Order: sequence, then structure tokens, then C-alpha cells
Amino acid sequence: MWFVLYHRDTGHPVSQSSEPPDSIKEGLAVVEFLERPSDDLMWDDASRLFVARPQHKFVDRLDDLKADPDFMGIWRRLSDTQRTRLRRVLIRLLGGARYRRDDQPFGVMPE
Amino acid sequence: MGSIWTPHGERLLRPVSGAAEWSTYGGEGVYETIGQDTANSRGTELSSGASNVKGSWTEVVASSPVDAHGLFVNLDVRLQGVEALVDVAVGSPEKLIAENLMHSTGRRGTLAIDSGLSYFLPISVPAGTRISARCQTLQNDKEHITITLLTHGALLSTPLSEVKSYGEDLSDSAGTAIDPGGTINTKGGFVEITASTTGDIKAIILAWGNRANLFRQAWNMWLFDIAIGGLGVEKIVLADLPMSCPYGFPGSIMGPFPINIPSGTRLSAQAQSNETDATDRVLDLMIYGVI
Repeated sequence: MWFVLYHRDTGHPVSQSSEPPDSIKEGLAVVEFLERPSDDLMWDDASRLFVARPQHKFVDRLDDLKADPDFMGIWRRLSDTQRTRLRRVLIRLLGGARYRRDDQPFGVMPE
Repeated sequence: MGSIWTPHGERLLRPVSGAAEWSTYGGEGVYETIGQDTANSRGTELSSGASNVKGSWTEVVASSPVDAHGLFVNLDVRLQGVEALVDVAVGSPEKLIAENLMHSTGRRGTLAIDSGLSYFLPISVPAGTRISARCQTLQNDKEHITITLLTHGALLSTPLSEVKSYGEDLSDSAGTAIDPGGTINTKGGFVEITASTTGDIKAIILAWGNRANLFRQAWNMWLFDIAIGGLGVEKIVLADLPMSCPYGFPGSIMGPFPINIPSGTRLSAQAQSNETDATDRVLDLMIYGVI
């Protein structure tokens, strides 16, 4: 079992536990769940329930370049062989920073 | 290497191989590191059994060189970063003396942005002891371990015997998720770390993990509370411990904090953060009880 003690007026949690409360103070309420929620769930004050934690999408910075008019102006002047070579160099250059989260900027490091 | 002597003719340090010639502040303590792999400039390599499965025990030293009254367990990884839980044992067959030491590195994409952590464990291990270690990791990675043994004369005057872990999640080789919630700079409510401790705790050590977050936002900051007591009647014993990630969150350790917590106590934690993103505001936490 899993118990969540929360403020009755706001739904904001006070505490979560595998054990029930001995008593409940004025203004608080408790809701009981069959099991401890997994980490991909989170408490929602509004519904007083656990809801799915929003997941981010990931963006390939090579796709960012396709949206850059200056880069694409240069890219279009390259032959297919030169494009392939440039793409390989960019992949090596970006390394682990090739992908970014959808809410993060194009730049690899914050300015 | 010569000895260092006080003006009164007292020797401050007993020189041993590899030890610096400085006394610990409590007296004649020395440090001796075991498990170093000098051929590869790293520690003893530990292999995970499989993803989230404990690997086999690897000997760090067959016979420890000094009577240790404290251990610095130093964990390092390679390029990609890791989510790992490391056990340390003595003897043969192995008897656990420290379990599930969390090593969770910061990441930027597929690269680790840091690598090393060091736990100070105020426990005793006599000279001549076989010491070994094993690990499990999220992605079947490898860990590297050295242990720096500290002899008498520093920090806790009464070394203890064992480190028990609370809050481990063996399914992802990490700790308990502490979510500050979506209200900025407001404590998100306590989350149970354990319903009941085992053994009378004399000190606690805290460890935070990155939750394998590959793209954590910069400049997230947190304040953590650690509490004892039942649901709704928690008593905070450590308040507003700060955490931050300038650029990705490197795993972090605090303690040991000397504190008496009797067996059977419920432990919980809560946090607040300047970050409200549902992924980035969450850190893993482990609590280690030294008994």
C-alpha cells in the first residue's frame, strides 16, 4: 500500500509513505494506493492522483542545421561526396552533443 | 622519505609507502591506498553482472596493509558515465561492510561530464583483511574502485562496523526519486526512503544521483530536508542541504553526519527547487546508515 497525505484545499502533498498515518491533522486528507507509484508517475495537486510524468522529445542537431538558411546556402553548393564528408565531420565534431532536448537551445554550451 | 617531527621531538607521522608526510588532525593517522591499477592509471575494474544485476566479487586487496579506522571508497568511471551501485566486503566468503554505494555521473548527451566520487566510511577494518567489491550498473558498464585506508587519529573517535543502504532501487541501479513538485521554490512533501531502519545508526551519509538524465538543464538548484518519524509527523534532522547542477548534475555525497537514529525508524526526505520541469527537477537520493 502507498499513502499520500496532502493539504485538502490545495492538493499539495505533505508526505508519502508505505505506512498509514496515526492521525490526520485539521486541513489534511489522505489517499491510499495499492502500491508505490513508479518513477515515471508524479503527484498531481489538482487531481490528487499520480499522473504520467511528461517525457521530452529529442532533436538531432544535424536537423537543426537543415533549418539554418546560412548553412543550407552553403550545403546546396556542395557535391554529394562533399556533403557526405561534411556530415561525417559534423557527427565526429558533435559527438555526445549531437542530440538535444526539444526545450534546449541549438547551441551545445550555454552562452 | 623522512619523518616529520614536532619541536618537542614527537613524530607526527609514521611514513608508509605512498603516504603523504602530513599528520591527520587527530594524531598519527596515515593513508594507504589499495586497489590502484597503475598500469592503466585507474582503480580496480568492476564489471556489472548484466544490466541491473550484481557482478561477481573482485578482490581489491588480498591482505590490507594497515589497521583502518576509516575508508575512503573512491569510484571512477570511463567516458560514457554510469548509474551504479557498489558493494564492499571483507573476508572470504565475502561479508558486506558497505552496500549499494551509489555512483551516478552527470551526462551531456552520451558523454559523462564528471567521473569520480569518494565516500568516507567511518568503519574499522583490521590489517590483513581481504577486501573485495562488486557492482551493478544500469547499462552493464564498468566501475573502477580504489580504497584509501585511514589509520587511527582522525574524524570519528569510535569507528563503526558497517554501512547499510536505504532507498536503493535495484531495478535501475540508483536511488529513490525525490520530486520537489511543480511549485517553484516550495518543498514538495516528504517521500519515504525506508519504513524502518535496521540497526542503531550512529552516522548517516547522503548520496544524490542524476537519474540517468542525459540532457538536464543548467543551473538547477535544490534544498533537501532529511527527516525521521511517521507519516505527517516527520521531524527534520538535516534541513536545507543544497544541491546544484551548473551544467548537468554530477552525483554528489554529503556526510558522514554523526547522529543517533534507533533501529526501526522511518526515514524520509523532501526537496524544493528553482526548476519546475517534470524531469529536471527530480534527483535520486540514498541514505546510508553507519552502525
